Amino acid sequence: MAHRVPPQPHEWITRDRKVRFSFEGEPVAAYPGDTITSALLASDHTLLGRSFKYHRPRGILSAANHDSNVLLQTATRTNVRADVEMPLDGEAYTAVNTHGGLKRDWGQLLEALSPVLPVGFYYKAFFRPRWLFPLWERLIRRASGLGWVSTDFPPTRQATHRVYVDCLVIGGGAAGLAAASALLDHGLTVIVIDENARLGGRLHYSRSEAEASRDWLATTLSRLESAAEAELWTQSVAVGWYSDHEVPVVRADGIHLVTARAIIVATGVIETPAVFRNNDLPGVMLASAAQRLVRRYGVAPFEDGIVLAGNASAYEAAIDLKRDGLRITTILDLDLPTTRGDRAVEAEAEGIRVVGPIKHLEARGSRGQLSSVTYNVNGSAHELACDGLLMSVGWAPAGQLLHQARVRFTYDPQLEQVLPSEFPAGIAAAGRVNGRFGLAARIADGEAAGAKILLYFKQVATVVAPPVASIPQSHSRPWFPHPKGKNFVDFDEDIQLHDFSVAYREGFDNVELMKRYTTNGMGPSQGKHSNLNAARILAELQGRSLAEVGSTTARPFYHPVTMGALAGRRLRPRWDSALNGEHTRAGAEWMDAGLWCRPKFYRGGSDAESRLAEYRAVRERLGIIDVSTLGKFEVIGPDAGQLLALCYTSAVDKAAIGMTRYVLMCDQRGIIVDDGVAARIGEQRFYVTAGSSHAQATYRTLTQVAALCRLNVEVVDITRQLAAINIAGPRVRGLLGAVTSQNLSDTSFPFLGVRDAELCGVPVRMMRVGFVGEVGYEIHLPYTQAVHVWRSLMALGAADAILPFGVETQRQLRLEKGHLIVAQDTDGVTHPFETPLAGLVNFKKPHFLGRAALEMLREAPARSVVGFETDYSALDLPIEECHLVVDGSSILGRVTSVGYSPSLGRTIGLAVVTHDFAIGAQRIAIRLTNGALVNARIVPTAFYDPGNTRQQDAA
Amino acid sequence: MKQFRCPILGLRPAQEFICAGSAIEGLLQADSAAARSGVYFGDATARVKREWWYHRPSQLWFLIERDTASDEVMAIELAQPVEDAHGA
Amino acid sequence: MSWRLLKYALNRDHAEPRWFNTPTSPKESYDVVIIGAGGHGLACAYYLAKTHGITRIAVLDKGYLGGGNTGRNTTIVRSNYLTPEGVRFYDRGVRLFEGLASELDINLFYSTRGHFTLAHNESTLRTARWRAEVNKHHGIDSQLVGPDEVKRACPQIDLNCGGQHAIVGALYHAPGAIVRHDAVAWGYARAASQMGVEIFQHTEVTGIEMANDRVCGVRTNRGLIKTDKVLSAVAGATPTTLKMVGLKSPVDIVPLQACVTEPMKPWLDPIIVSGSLHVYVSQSARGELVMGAAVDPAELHSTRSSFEFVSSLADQMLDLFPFLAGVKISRQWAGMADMTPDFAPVMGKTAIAGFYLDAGWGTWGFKATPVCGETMAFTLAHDTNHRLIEAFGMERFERMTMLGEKGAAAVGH
Repeated sequence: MAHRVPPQPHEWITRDRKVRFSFEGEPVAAYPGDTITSALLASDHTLLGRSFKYHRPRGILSAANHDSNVLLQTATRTNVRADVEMPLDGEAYTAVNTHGGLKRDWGQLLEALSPVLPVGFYYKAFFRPRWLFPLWERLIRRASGLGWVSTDFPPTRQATHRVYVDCLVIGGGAAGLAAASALLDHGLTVIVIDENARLGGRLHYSRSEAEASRDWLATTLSRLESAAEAELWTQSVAVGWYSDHEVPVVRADGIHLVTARAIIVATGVIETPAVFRNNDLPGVMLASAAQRLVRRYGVAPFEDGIVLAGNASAYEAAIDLKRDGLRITTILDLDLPTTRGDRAVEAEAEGIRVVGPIKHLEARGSRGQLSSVTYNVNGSAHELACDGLLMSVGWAPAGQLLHQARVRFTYDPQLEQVLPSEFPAGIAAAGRVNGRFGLAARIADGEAAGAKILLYFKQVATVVAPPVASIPQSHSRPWFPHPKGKNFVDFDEDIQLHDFSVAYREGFDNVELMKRYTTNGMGPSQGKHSNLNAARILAELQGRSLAEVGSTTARPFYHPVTMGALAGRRLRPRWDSALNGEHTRAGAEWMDAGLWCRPKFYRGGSDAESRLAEYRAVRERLGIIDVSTLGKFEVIGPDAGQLLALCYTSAVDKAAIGMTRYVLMCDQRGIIVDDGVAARIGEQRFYVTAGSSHAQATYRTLTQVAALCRLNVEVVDITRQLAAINIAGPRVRGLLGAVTSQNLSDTSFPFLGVRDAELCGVPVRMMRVGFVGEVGYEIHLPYTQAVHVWRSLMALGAADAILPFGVETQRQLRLEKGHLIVAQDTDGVTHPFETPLAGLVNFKKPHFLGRAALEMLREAPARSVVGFETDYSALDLPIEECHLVVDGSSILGRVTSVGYSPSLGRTIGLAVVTHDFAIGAQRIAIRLTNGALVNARIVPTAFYDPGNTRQQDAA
Repeated sequence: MKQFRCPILGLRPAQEFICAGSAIEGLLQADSAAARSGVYFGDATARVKREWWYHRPSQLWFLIERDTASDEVMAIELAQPVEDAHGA
Repeated sequence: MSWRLLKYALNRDHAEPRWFNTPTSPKESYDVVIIGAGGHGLACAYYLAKTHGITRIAVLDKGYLGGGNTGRNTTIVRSNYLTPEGVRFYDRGVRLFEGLASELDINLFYSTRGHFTLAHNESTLRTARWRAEVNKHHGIDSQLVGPDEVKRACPQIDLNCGGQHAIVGALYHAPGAIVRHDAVAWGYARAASQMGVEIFQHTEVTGIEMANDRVCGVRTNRGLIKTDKVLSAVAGATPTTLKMVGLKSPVDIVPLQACVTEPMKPWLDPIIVSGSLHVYVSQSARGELVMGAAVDPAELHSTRSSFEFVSSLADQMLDLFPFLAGVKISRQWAGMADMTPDFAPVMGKTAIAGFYLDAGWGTWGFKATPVCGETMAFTLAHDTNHRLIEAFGMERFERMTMLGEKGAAAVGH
C-alpha cells in the first residue's frame, strides 16, 4: 500500500500543519507543500482517475504534470491537474468523467465493448441509417469530454506582465543553473525559470545526484540568488516560443510575457512508459514519479516495488529508491543485465535481484490495483507479486520550445534520441534535452551554452562542450505485443499497441496521418509521454529508422493555459465626446459607433414621440446635434490641394478660399470608402472632415499618399482635440446672430461657406452645411469649450424650444434630402457610378485613388441607387433596411435606407437595384420579413426641398 | 510576437502596426494598363517584399522590407523623413 | 451497433483493406493531374471518376493527405451567404454533405448544430437581415432573431458581453453544421482510390510544362508526368502554381489561426460566431471548444502560431462566456488562407488551356469541399465551367468587378 515515510532530507512539505480536503467524498489530510496526488497517495488512495475511453482505473504516472488521467473537478473548477496542483483547504475534489463515482464508475462497462471499438471505429459505424446518427451522436458526445464547466466560475482575468531580459534560461536543473551562472558578471540580465516549486530538477529527486551535487548546487544557487542581474522564478512554465524570442511564462499571478535577446533551453527530458499489457494499472508508474514522490513529499507510492529497466539509469533509480527506504525487490531488464556494466553488480550488492532479458511482460491486477507481474526469462514463465512497477525505459527530449524556435533536430542512433543540431541566432540548448546525461556533462554543457550566448553578445568566451552521452539512454523497442491488447501507448486517449498496426495497414502510414487516425497525442498531455513510442512503433512498421519517420509539429502550448491568464486585462478603448455628460442629462439613448458612442435619440415620451419631436424641432424651429465623432484634419502646406486631389475623386484643389466641397474617397478598386467635407481655409490650408468610423483610415490614406508622392504637406489629426456641433433649423441665424460677430447673411457667409469666427466668446470654425436640409452650421471648436458653447446655445435656444437630436433623427432628415450614408447606402462593392455621386468623379486629373478601376467601372455599372416612396403614412413602418427588392423569383436589390417623412406624409427610402432594372423603372416591389410585398414608386432621391430653397436668405 | 526595430521609435510590437501592403504604389503608375492590372493582380508568392506599415500610436508610416516566407525583416525606414513633414 | 464493428470483435487483429492506394511511382502520363491532395483535390478526383468516368488521375501533394487547410480548419458547414451565386453554390455544398457519409461509407460526424452570427450593433444587424432575406429567398433556413432567442439556444452566453457591445440580435442559420474534417479527405481518398485514382503523398510539383499556351505536363521531385489537364487545388499556395503557368495572382496568402481547449462535457450546442468580437466557437464531439478568429493582419507564407492571436481570442471569448476563465487552451495552430479581394473563390478555366483553378478559398473553403469537387470535375471533364461556378471566374477581376460577398461580416467561416 502507499503511505507516508519518515521525513526526507530537503523534502518540500512542512509537517507541522495539515490542510484538509475531500476526494470523492472522503476526507483527506495533506501537508502544506503536498500536491493533491501526493496527499492522496499518502493516505493510500491509489485509484485516482478513470481513462477517457474505457474508464479503466488509473493512478499516478509521472507526478510531473503529464498525468492527464488524474484530472479533478471542484464545484467551480474543472480538469484540475492533481499531480502538480496543491490542495486547497476545505475544497471538495472528485475525479472527472465518471458515472456514479470513481470507484463504481459504470463507465467501465465500456471496456467490455472495447473489441468492437477498434481504432477509428467512429469512422466506421453509427451513420447508417442516417436518422439514427443524431441519437448515436448524443451518446458519443455525452460519453466524451472530461470535466464539466461551471458557469459559476468567477470571471477572473489575470493581467499580463511584460518583461524584457537579455537571456532567459528555461529549466532550473543542473544545466540551466550552470548556464545562468556562466552568464553572471558580464553585464547581462538573466532570468531562470522552472515549473517546479524549487530549483535543481533532478538534483533533488535523484538521491545519488543530490549527494554528488550538494555543494555545487548550494554554491551555484547562492551565487545566482545574490546576483543583482539574475532572477530565479519557480512554479513558472514557459508555454511556447514565438517570433523574436517572446516566451509567455505562466505564473501564479498571470502570464509574464518575456522578450529575451537570447534563450537557453535546458528543459530536460520526459520519462516515457513501456508498453505492455495492463501497463496502466494503478501501481504501474514511471520510476521518476516514485523518485519525485518520495523525495519531495515523503510518500512511498507502493509497498513492494519492481523496476522495469530499459537503460542504465533504471538501475540508478532502483538503487536510489532503495536507499531512500523503499522496498525494491527486483529489476526486470528488457535486455541482458550484463550490458549495463557495473550497474547490475551495484544493484545486486544493494540486495536487488536482477533479471533479464525478459519477454512477454504483463501486469496483473486485482480490484483495479497492480498485484503482480508476469514475464518470461530464458524461456520460463514467472510471476512476481508487487504493488509497484516502476518503468524506466527511456526519455523523450522536452524539445517543444526548440522545435517552435525552428531549431533543427537530428537523430543520434547511438543515443537513441533526437538532438538539436542547428540553432537560429541567440538560442542554445543544454543538458539532457541536448543529449548530455551525466551530472558533470550537464553542468559542463550548461557552461558551454552560457559561453555560446556570451559569444552571441560579442563577449569573450570559450565554448567547451562535453561529448554527447555515449550509451543509449532510451530503449529502442520498449513494447510487448499481447494478443489481448490493453498495452497502452497513449494513456490520454487509450491508444493500444495494435491500434498502430491496424492504422498502418489501413493506409495511415505516415506520422501525421497516424496521429490523426489513432488520435495519439491529441489528449491533454499532447503526446508528451506517448509521441516517442508512437514514432518508434511506426518506424518499425515502416521498416525505417526513427530519423526517417520524422515527427509531428510541436505546437504551443507546452502545458495547457487558462483562458483567464491568456486574456489579460480587459482593455476596451473608448472615445468620449466632450458633450456626453450633456447628452446623459438630456436623456440620451446610446448606440455604439465604433470607439465612440452616440445618442440614438433623447427620451421624452414614447420612442416615436421623441423622434418626432426632435424632427419637428429641426424642420420648424431649432435642433442641435453633437457631431464631434467626425474625423477632423488640418492639411497644410504648398502641396495641400494636390494631396486632396490625389485622395478624393473631385477637383477639390480648385475650391475657392472660404468655401467647402463635399468630397468622396474611393479605394484603389474604385469602391467608395468615405465621404466628408473639405474646407479651404487658405491658399495652402484645408480643413477636412471624415466619417466617424472611417476617420482613422482616412488619416492613414492622406498621410500615406503624402509620403508616397513626397508632397510638401502636413496632415494633422485633430479629431479628438476638437468638438463639433451642428445647429440647424429655420431660426438658427436669429440664435447665432446673438452670440457671434460673424455676419450670417448669404452674401457674407454663403451656403457651403466656411468662416473662422468667435462664438459665445470662443474661437470657432463654422461651416454652412445642408446635410439635414435646413439652414445649418457645423461649429468646430476646442474640446474644452464644447460644454460651455452647447449650454449657451441650449439656454439661448430655449425661447425657440430648441431640442437636441440624435443619430436616428439626423438619418431621417438627411434621407429626406437624399444624402447617402457611406457603408449604409453603399456596401463593400459600391462605386460612384452606381450612385447619384458619379458627378464627383473628375477624370481630368491624371492620378487619384481608384482612377484606374473607375475608368472601367463607369462603362458598365451593375447597380443603381434609386429613391422610392410609398403611401404608407403610419409611423410603425413595416419596411426595414435590407428588405429585398424582388421581381418574381429574382432579387433586384435591397432597401438601404427607409423612413417615414412627417413633412411629406409618406414613407420614403433609398434602394440599390440592378442598373438594367433601374433604367426607366417606375415601381419596385419590396418584400417584407413576413413575405408580403409592398409596392413603391421610384422617385428622385431629393425628396424634400429639391431646389434647396430653404438654404436661401429668408431670415 | 513580432517586433520591429524602427528608426525614431526603437523596438515596437507588430500589434501596434497596420500592414497596408504596397497597393498604394499603383496610384502614380503612368501606364494605365499596368495600373489597371495592379489593382487586382500581383506576385503573391513568398519572397522579400517592400510594404507600407502604419504605426498607430505615433501615426507614422514605415517602409519595411520583409521576407513573407520567414517573416524576417530586412530593413525598416521611415516612409517620409520627419523633418520633411514639419516643413524643415 | 453495426455488423462492421462486430467483425472487429470476432477478429481483433482485423484491419480494413488499405484505404488509399499509394503506388510507388507515378506513371508516365495521366488524363488529369490534380495538385493538392486536400479535400477539394480528392473530391474532384472522386467525382471525375464516379460521374465522368475519368479514372487515369494522379493526385499529388507535397505533404500528406489532407494535411493542408482540410486538416487545419474549424469544420463549419453553412450556406448563409449574401449573394445569390454564393447561396446557390454553398447550398448545393450543404446538400452534398448531408448525404456524403452514406455515399463514401464513412462516418463524417456531420452534426447539424445551428449557427448564430451575433450582431453587436445596428450595422451588423442590418447585414444579418440582408443575409436572412437573401437566404430565405433561395429557400435556405436563415432568420434574424433577437437576443432572447440567442439566450434560449445558448443559456450560458453573456448578452451584455462584459458591458460593451451588447448582443442586439443574430442571424440564425439552422442548417449550420460541424463535420469531422479529416474524415472528409480520407473518405474521398478511399472512394477515389477504389476507382483507380492514384494518390502520391510527399510529391512536390516544381513546375508545369507548357507547349503552345497549353498545359502538357507537370514536373515533380519524382520526375515529369505528362498530362493535358491540370487542376490546382492548393489553397495557401495558389500564387505559386499560378506563377508556374505565368499568371498573376489575385489571391494573397495570410495565416489563419485556430486553437482548441481541453475536452469538457458538452454544454455548447450551437456554433457561435461574432464578427465584431472576431471569434467563432463550437464544441466538437470530443468535447473540445474549437475556436478561431479573423485572419492575421499581414501576408505570410507560414503556419507559425502567434501569442497575440490566442491571447486576444481568449480576451474576446471571455466577453461572451466569462466563466471560461478557468478553462485551459491546450493547442493552437495555423493554416495559410488564399484570400481574394471579394471573399468569393476563384474557380474554373483560366487563360491557359488545360490549367484549371480551384482557389481563393480564404477562410471558408472546407464547407465547399464536396461542391467544389463536383463542379470542378464537371469543368475539367467538359472543359466548360459548371453553371454554379460561372460567377467565380478570375476574369471578374480583369473587369474590375467583385462579387458582393464582401458585404458580409468580416469573419466568415
